Amino acid sequence: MTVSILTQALIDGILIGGVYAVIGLGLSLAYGVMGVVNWAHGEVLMVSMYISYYLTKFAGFDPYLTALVNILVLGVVGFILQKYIFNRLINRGKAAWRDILLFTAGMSMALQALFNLLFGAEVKSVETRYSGMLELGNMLVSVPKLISFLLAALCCAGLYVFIQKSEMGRALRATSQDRITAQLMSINANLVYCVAFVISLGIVGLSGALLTPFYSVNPYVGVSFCFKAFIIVAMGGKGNIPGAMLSGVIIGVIEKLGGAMVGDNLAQIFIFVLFILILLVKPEGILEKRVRG
Amino acid sequence: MSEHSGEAILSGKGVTKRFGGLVAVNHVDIHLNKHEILGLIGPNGAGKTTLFNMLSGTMPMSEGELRYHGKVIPKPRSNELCKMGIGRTYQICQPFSNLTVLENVMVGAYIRHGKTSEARDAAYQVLKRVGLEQAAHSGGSALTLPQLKRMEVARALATEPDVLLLDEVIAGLNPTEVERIMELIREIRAGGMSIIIIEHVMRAMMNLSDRIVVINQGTKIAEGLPAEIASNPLVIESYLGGGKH
Amino acid sequence: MKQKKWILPVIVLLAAILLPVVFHIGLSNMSILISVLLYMYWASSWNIMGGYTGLFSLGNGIYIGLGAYLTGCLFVYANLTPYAGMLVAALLTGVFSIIIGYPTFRLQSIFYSLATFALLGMMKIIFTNFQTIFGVNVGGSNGFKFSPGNDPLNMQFSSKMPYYYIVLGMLVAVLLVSHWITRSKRGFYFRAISANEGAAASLGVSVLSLKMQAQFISAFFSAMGGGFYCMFISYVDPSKMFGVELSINVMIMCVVGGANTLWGPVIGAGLIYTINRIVTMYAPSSLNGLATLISGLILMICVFFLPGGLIPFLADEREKRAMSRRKATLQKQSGGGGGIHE
Repeated sequence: MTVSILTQALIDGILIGGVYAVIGLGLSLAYGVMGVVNWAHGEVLMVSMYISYYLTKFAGFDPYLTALVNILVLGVVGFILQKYIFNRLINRGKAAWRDILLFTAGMSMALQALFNLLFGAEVKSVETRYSGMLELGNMLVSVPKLISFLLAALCCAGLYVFIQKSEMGRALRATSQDRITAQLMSINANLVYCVAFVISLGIVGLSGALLTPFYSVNPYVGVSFCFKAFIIVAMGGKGNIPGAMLSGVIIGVIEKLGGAMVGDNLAQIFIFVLFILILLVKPEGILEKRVRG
Repeated sequence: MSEHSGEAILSGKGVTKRFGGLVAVNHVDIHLNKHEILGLIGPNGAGKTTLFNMLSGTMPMSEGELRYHGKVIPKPRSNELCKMGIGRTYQICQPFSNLTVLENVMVGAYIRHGKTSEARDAAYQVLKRVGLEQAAHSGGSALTLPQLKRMEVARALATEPDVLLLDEVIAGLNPTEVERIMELIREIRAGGMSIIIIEHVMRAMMNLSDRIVVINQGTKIAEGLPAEIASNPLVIESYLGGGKH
Repeated sequence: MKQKKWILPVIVLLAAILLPVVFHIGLSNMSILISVLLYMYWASSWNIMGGYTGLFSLGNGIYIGLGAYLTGCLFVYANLTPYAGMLVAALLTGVFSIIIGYPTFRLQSIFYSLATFALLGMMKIIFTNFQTIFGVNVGGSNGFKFSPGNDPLNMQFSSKMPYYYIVLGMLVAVLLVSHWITRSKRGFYFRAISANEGAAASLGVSVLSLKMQAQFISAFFSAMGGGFYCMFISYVDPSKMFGVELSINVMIMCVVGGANTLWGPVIGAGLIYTINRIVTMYAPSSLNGLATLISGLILMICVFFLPGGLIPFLADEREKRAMSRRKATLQKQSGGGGGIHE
């Protein structure tokens, strides 16, 4: 195991980690503001990857520009889902999270099966003009991965500014802390939820486009992304943007380094172990809420 | 005012709670005498419920000592304290919505009666005592607010406690209902209970309590008979200057 | 009044017992019946921790798979008869479930669910990638196989009928245990924990201890089902046992039928399995995965429109109709005189 292979894996891990981070942020936003754990988060990503794939392959789109289409489509879907479904589920009281989990689990199953029926289970990938390697020193950096990383980082930065500085961002933060108090401060909960979920799915739409140049798609590709998004939510805490970025990179690095050492298959164990460790170390936000004083 | 022995049944010394850098409750000494109704008042956010949570074991103390019947309790936890005889209600009612009213109260009764039939009988008796027996088979969440409050009290009573901690059991009720609950509380005390009650409704507090402790910003600022407290300038200032009502 | 409730289930049980005796049931249909009963059994097992106690485990397959492997290994390597092996496997799995469960019980419920999901994934990777575990050859990705024999003392029968009766007996057992639990102090405590842990603790409920009990009982039964399955097909496939599909399907069956009820899991399993079967049989083979799509849709529809599951929904409807009938009778009785308030 040479140093250069490990360093290569490290770089790879950081680059893909940026995309993981942004996907995790989408989930973190929905969970933090609405309490929605979207089990189908990965499948939404899968759908956006298919959209990007077909637009790029058969309509000659630039893969990164398909992000605009994805964001639009998924934003609308997010709006509809939130308004007609999650709104009702959220207000079901204490067991709401179970219903939401079950509903999105059903959605996840259905989407996987649907896309399997529609497009078959074969893995699909597309050659784009973003290919090849950059040479930095004696390290090779994949061009599409680098571009995607930068765009993902840009997105995170933009989100950070939005959440910290804007009026709506403040409303999102307040609702994420304490829904009831936020309502007392006359923050319109429905509007806030709407914005949060639209952004959440919009981010996923962007990520689908970011992945297309170097990641192949099949109906089941969403599962591992979704799990990593969960880890980011657990590690980074609700809506904690710098935390999510760091977590994403950590996950990416562990995955690629692990893959270099024991093969991609077994490297997945490291991811699971990481998750379990996070839960054992118990950062704030995932412990049972104590009765507030 | 009823007679009560001088010894404290429940006492906390130096009770402190820190959340990170914030000190929510700051070295409070508080004691409850037998058969006493102790009122705990203070502006919003003063730390009353946090103090309550520590006295009932729902929340661990950062510092402090809890004594029950004179004996120190090293690591008070709510289920153990309940078995020892300390019961509590919650400010925001917490019904078991998947159980009927009777079954809700049975959960409390089970701690003293292991057999289902005995627990059911005991629970039914408690329901009659608080005047809820008509609603025995309604769903645990399909109740009006006054009924929910009574069920909270009934559940705690079913554990046959010696000490009852009531957290804002009056808030949100109309004057008639307030009178009825106050009657109930007096009855419970007459039956031998010692009670600490947090309340914002001043009239009720002054009428019910034998003694009052005032908390502001985590510290005890006054303690004494209702009449003394009502004319205490510090207390008045804390309400006017401090939090909203 | 209570006695009346038992007449129908007893009749159904008698019918189930007599079914293979009266009718000649072919091999494949027998397999179907056994599978249905086994899913009903697994759904009822999950119900104890997921439905009653609110421990929403997404990793039921962990216990099923462990039970299968342990029973099989004890049989093949230690010559332990599966009748005992199933029990030993179930006990060991139960203990395992508490050990891994203990750190997760204090988590917010959603993270408990995710943790079970993560553990399931780990088990799958371990059992599909390693040929030997703790020195025992478990077959790796090819699965654990042994030759089917004809030795009744070792739960190997040439005909399928005995398996039918064994699983039927297991189903009756888990239902009886569930029923006994709901009427006992433990059952009330389980459901209180499910509704509101904090309030339960204030009423003296030892939340942690009871969660462990619920998990143990549920894992115990699930594992026994796994052991049975292992002996039934003489094969343990890690990607199936520890796969997401099995765990989620068992959960769906329980939830769609009615998670907090006795018969919910049974009805739910029967319904979902039947639908799955029909779809797989009659759909053209090019439509691969249609059954999964339908299951997912059923789950979504059920969660949205029938929140408690089928059985509570039907019970609610029946009560609503009874109440309106009562109202109508009252109206008739107060006559056409009018002016009489209700």
